[in-house]
Amino acid sequence: MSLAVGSGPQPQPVVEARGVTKAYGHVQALGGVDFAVYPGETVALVGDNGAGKSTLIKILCGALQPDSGRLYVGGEEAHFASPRDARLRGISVVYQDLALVENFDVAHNVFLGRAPVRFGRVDRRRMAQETTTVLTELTVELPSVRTPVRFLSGGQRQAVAIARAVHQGGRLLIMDEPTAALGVQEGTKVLQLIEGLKSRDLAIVVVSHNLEHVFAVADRIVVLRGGKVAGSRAKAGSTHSDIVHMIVGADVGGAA
Amino acid sequence: MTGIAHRSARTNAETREAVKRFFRTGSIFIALALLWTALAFASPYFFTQQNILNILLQSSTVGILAAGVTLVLIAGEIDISVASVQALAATVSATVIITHDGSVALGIAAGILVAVVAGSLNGYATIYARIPSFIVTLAMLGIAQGAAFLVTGGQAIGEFPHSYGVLGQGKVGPVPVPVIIAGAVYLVLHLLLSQTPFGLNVYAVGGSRNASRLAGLRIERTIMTVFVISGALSGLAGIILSARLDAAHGSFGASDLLDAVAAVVIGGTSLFGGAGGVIGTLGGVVIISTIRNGLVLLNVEAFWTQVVVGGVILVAVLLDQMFKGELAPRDLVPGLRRA
Amino acid sequence: MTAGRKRRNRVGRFGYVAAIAAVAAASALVLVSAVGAGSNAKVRIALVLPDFAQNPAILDVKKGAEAEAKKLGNVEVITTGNISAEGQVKAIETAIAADVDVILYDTIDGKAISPAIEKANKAGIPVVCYISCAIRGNHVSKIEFDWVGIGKVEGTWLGKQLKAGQQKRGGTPVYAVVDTSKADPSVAGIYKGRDAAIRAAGVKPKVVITPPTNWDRAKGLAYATDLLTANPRIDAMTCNADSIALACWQAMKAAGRTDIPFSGANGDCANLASILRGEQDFTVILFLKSGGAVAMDTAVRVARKQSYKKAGIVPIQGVDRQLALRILSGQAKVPAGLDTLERLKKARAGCK
Repeated sequence: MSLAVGSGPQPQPVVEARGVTKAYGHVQALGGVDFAVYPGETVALVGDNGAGKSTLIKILCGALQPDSGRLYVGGEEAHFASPRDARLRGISVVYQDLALVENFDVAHNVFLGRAPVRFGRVDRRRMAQETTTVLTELTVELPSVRTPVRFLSGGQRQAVAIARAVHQGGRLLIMDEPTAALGVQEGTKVLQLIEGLKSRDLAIVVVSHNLEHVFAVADRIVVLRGGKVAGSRAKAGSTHSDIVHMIVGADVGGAA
Repeated sequence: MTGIAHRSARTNAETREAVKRFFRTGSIFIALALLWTALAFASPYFFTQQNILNILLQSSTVGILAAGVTLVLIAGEIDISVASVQALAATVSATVIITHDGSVALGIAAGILVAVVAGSLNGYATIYARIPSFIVTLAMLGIAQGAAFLVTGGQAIGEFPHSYGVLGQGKVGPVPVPVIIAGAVYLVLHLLLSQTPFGLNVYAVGGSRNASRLAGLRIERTIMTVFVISGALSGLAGIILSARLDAAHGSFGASDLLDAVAAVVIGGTSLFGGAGGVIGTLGGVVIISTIRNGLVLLNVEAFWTQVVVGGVILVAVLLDQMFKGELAPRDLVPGLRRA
Repeated sequence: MTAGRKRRNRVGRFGYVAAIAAVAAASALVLVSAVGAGSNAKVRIALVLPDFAQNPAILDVKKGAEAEAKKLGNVEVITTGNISAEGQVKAIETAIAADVDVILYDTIDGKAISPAIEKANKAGIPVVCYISCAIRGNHVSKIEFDWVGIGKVEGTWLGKQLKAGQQKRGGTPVYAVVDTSKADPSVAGIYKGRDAAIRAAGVKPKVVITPPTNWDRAKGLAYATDLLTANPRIDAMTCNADSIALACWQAMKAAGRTDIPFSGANGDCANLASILRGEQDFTVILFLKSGGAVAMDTAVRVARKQSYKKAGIVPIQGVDRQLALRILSGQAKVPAGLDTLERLKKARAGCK
């Protein structure tokens, strides 16, 4: 469970799920999953289709309720009735479809649902300023924060969605397939962005089926198979084929 | 170049965006200005203070209805019951004041209350019964229309007291009261939509239900509110209309529905939701009233009326698209090869 | 010997009872059938009208007919109002299928409705028509409106105003029309009569006409306002329907042009009151409500196999302020059967 062997007493996980199960009708999507994320680490969550990745992160971010099991944030037990609850506890999500409003500009999307208000009026100047700041910090290039996102490229939109999650503050950032819809060039840019996030003392969970990208950014790789954790490996010392075997079903060994 | 791009490039880009935004909302007024210019040349009676005020007066109640429709459309729904609820509010108010000798204030309150109830029912059925708003408000159209006839027994009830008539026939200086009321409605709604967090929510809910839900926006509350506002505005329009005509009848203003929806579409609010605004609608309403006025002033043969109205609407929307930058004149020529 | 006599007596007594019973039964039968063909048998009448939601004149017809049915008693009226001719055709077909006793109708389109009337004839259902009749098919009774005649009465008055305007101001007099409908044949008939009467008065006015209001008072107000704006000279104006004439008056008041002579038609109480006040100048009273009652009365008589009138023209009366005052004071007499005096009294009392 520790990142480096013999590094001293274990820190508290930022978020931990214990014994989480979830069924949809007759289908057991998750059959008892233990999953923890520690401060500062980037964990990749991988698995085949139907392994339970989306279900797990939906539970972690409050979009779904588990049938059984418990969630802990910073050691304390937590219940999330909605993604808003999770956000208020410091868990932000970048959804696979990005959940952006096409007609809104960059600033409005970054502040979606959290627009600052001054004397009853929406404070657009502050929105523009803070959006510019966070995008600069993330070294994202955009002509203007007032451009409607429908005019942006896929990679730029991904950056906006990530900027929103980052700006929300918090300790855990979950990303669902951040590079899946992007070409090589833009995908690389997004990976750089994620790399840049590591300096922020954020814990990051990346769900991806692109093993190359996984190996590029992850510190640790957790494999789900058939609704259960098939294994957890530090990236250092693992090979692609090790991971593929775990995804597909040949156990290679290693603690969760 | 890192970060958001060089300061000067950024200001240029932002200015361009601001200009584009201005044209998006204001472009319909350019079309309106062209129309007015053309009519001013065609008839010496057009561009007088009295006639222009008449046009605005004749736009007032339809304009108020159209403002409500705009709001609901931006939220991603639609309200086609507005004209019927207008008639219902008028007939209820008339019944209370004239048939039952109630006070003017009581009549107005009753009319608006009935309209608000209708709006709430629209909202409730759309949100909780999950019936598409087109169907819900279509049903309410029938219910309210029928109720309006039932309330007055199919007759026109007439002759309101003076304090009621003022709402429709009074003037402040040269400006008719309905124009002032409609102007106030537009101002309030514009500020609501463009400045308040609620307004922002309306655009978000209409723009992407999914994104709004995931962002934790209170979607149900937003949708219910827009329907209630639309209902209240229909009620207000009904009061003013009956004050203007000094009578209320279930059939009054029945044709306002088409005019209101046409005005909203001409004004640039998308039928898909998430974009647009009441300012554009205001332009659309005045364009429609101007066309009618022009036809009478120029003594145009009646059968041409429908042709002309349809044609002017088409041209106005075409011009609007061009000003918004979404259509180039080149696009209109099929097969013209791009440079 | 005693047994034989007893037997004869029993038969005799039985015979008396039988005879009395037979006579009683026969009389009862005769009485019942007499009542059946008489004053209070249950009858079902289909009343097929144009749209009474929009047109207050048709509403008057409906009210008059239904009130008369109630008065006569034991009459079931199935009323339909339709905006379109095809809607009326469907209503008549439904009435045939429902096997009503009589069909009473007022049609929007005499040509389109004819096949439906012929169907009713074939089904053996008697047909009575009121105001506007089909051009083909058999009717047991027709109570019609002379639309052209109505137009002539209004046109004569308008012609007089136009002539006076010509004499006062010289040049070509201006005749303004707030149109109600392009599709309604009754309107077309009125126009014919009006134009003929105006020609007969010896004037050739300039005609300005608005788009049709379709009896929407709000449109009437808007069109009348614009008409006044565009025409600084108007010598006479017609607003066609009385309900629109009220809006015309409002427009004139707002524009300060209350000196323009204008007319309407129908004879609504509010308009008669307006005439008495000197606001509206002329109207043609169409005795529609009482006409509706007469039509229903005819239909019920047909259904109950009583005697009825085969044809009739609904009466009308043109009225201006001068005549109205003379009728109220008793100086002028009203033709028998017309309730003009009662209407004027009600108008003077405030139309409550």
